[in-house]
Amino acid sequence: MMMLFLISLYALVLYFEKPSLRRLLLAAVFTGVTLFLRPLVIYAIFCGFLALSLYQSKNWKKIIDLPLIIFSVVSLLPSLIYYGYGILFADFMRSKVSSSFMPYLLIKKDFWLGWSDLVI
Amino acid sequence: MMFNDGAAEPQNIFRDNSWWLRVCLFIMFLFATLLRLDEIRAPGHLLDREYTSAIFARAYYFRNNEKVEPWRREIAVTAKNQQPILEPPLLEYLVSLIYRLMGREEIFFARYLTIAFWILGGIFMYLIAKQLLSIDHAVVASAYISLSLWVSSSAGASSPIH
Repeated sequence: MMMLFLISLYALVLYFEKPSLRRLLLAAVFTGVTLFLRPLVIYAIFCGFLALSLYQSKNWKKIIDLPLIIFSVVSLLPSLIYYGYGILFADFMRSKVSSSFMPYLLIKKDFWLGWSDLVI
Repeated sequence: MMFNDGAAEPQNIFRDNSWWLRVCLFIMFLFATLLRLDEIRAPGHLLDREYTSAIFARAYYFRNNEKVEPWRREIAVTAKNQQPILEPPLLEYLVSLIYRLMGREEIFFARYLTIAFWILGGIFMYLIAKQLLSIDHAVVASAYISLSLWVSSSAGASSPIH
């Protein structure tokens, strides 16, 4: 949901404005709920986290630090459990995997031409 | 680290907590709500997703509902089981609670919920942009997410991706 996505981003902004463990966990929990309900926003949220982290540290070598690890673990855990269970054990997500994850497209010329059409 | 120190620049249109800002935001969010309410019964853009959501919401509404005949309940469960599970059906469950509250099943009830979520999303968009940039930027960003044509028509849909 868009609302949860924006709440997660807002929590991230609040954390980077005044970093503390409490704010980091709050952002991670909101992100966890968001990713649980809408996993595809993972790219936008993590790019937001990395962008703010880079803006703060001014050094890309310091991007992978303890806060990123804590944030990743807490925010990804619910989704990994639910979707992992659905894909590997309960089988109710397997059809979703086959229709959503098609890595063979990465080596197809038409795939990239289609993307360039969309962008241009 | 402060992204935006809150100091109003002379060229800014809006000042923090000013009467003018509050009136503009109120009118903007009111207009965004009315825009969506006007088309609340119109078909959405993502019909397959809305259909799936409606089937799930119906099944949850019928479950343990003594007023519904057993055969209808059975068909609702069968239809639900034939739908793919894409995300955890939380929104559909919330919609079924609204059905219970209203005492009947109407698909557009779900849209009241998504409209409320979008308006709240617009408020958070405002807060993010205000924190990162300025109040003027925040007003423009929240106006875009609340009032732009594609977003407002898409936001009327009642599927979980909204």
